[in-house]
Amino acid sequence: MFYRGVIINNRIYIKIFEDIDTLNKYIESEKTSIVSENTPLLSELTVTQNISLILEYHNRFNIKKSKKITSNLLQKSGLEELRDKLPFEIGKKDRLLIQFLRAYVSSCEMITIIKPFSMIDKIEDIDYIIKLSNIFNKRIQIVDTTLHNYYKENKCLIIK
Amino acid sequence: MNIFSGIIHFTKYYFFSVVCLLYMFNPKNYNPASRQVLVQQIFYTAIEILPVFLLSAIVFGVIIMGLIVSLSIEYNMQQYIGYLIIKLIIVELVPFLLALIISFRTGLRVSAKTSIMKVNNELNTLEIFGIDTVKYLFMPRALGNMLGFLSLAFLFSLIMMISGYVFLFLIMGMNLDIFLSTLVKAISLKDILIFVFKSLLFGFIIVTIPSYDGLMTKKRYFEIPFSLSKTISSLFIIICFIEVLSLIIEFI
Repeated sequence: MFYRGVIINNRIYIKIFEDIDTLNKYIESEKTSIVSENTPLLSELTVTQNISLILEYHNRFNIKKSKKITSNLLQKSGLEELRDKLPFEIGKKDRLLIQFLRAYVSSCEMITIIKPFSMIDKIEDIDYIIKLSNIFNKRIQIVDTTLHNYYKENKCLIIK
Repeated sequence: MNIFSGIIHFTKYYFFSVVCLLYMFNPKNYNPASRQVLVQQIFYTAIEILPVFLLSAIVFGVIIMGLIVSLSIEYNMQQYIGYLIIKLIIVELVPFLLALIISFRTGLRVSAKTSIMKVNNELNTLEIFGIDTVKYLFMPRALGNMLGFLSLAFLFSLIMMISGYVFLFLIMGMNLDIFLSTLVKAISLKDILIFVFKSLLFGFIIVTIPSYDGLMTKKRYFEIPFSLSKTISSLFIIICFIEVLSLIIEFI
């Protein structure tokens, strides 16, 4: 499968695919937790509930335990003030980070962030994920299609 | 073509509801996440509604029991008052009226929530994270609504009986012992079974039909109102159908 890539550090790297079909095929072949536009946070649940849902469902942790784990994660990430907010009450960057934490608590060893630049306004916002990779012990891959082809028809601040 | 697609939808709904029902009987399907949905649904169906429900139950109770008592006195049918209260009011009218009220409240809410989750890709999120939507969402909602519905039906019946007694006491001076013995004479095991079974069935369909309609919504926001109107018409037809069926069973 053809892609170009950049290694950022020993835990995080970027893979750029020529087109969306190749990217989708690659994702299907990987066992990974996904962060993408197509996996939004559940709008009815708070930030904490969105993350702890995975722990309660898969690990069968009780509410108290799952909330404690989630609280610690939010604190480590400097996002504890978002704890009781609903997804529509927080910004794009924070939504991406919460999605990242939700993927982190799932059982997969790798987190794949699909097309992150379509989910944020400023390219620098992705820096925070790179910083988080030093705190959280999981491999992270960022996948996207050739940036120019993808963004040329969109009103994207990154291109501007 | 419409009949054909109707049959397909009915078959799909049938399998969806059977899956929901089967999931209820497996204790492994109850994890902390689904238990939260179950508790929320019971709260929403049976507790949050209480102030408005109690007020409307009292108003309905006074009107209907007033009519029953005054008509039975007018036509010299006092000896049948117990049967009228049990068979007509408690077994037939209470679950039917309650089903209509809960349909407009819970049914529409479940349909809207499910449609929005479908359009927003939230159901897709759950699947991607390995969360079975029936186990996490639809089964606990259905069970919660069944339990909530049954509790409200008992409460509604109690209010109806109290209203009936108040009328009989005021008009005929009937004392409580005679009233209770009239009711006990009139009630049979079959009535209790029909009442309980019908209440559980109404509770079940009021959540599963809207959930199914929500799942069938196409991924476009303007489809949500169509899904809601489809839900309400399907629910009305099915509720009337169950009511007719219960009347037939009652008279067999």
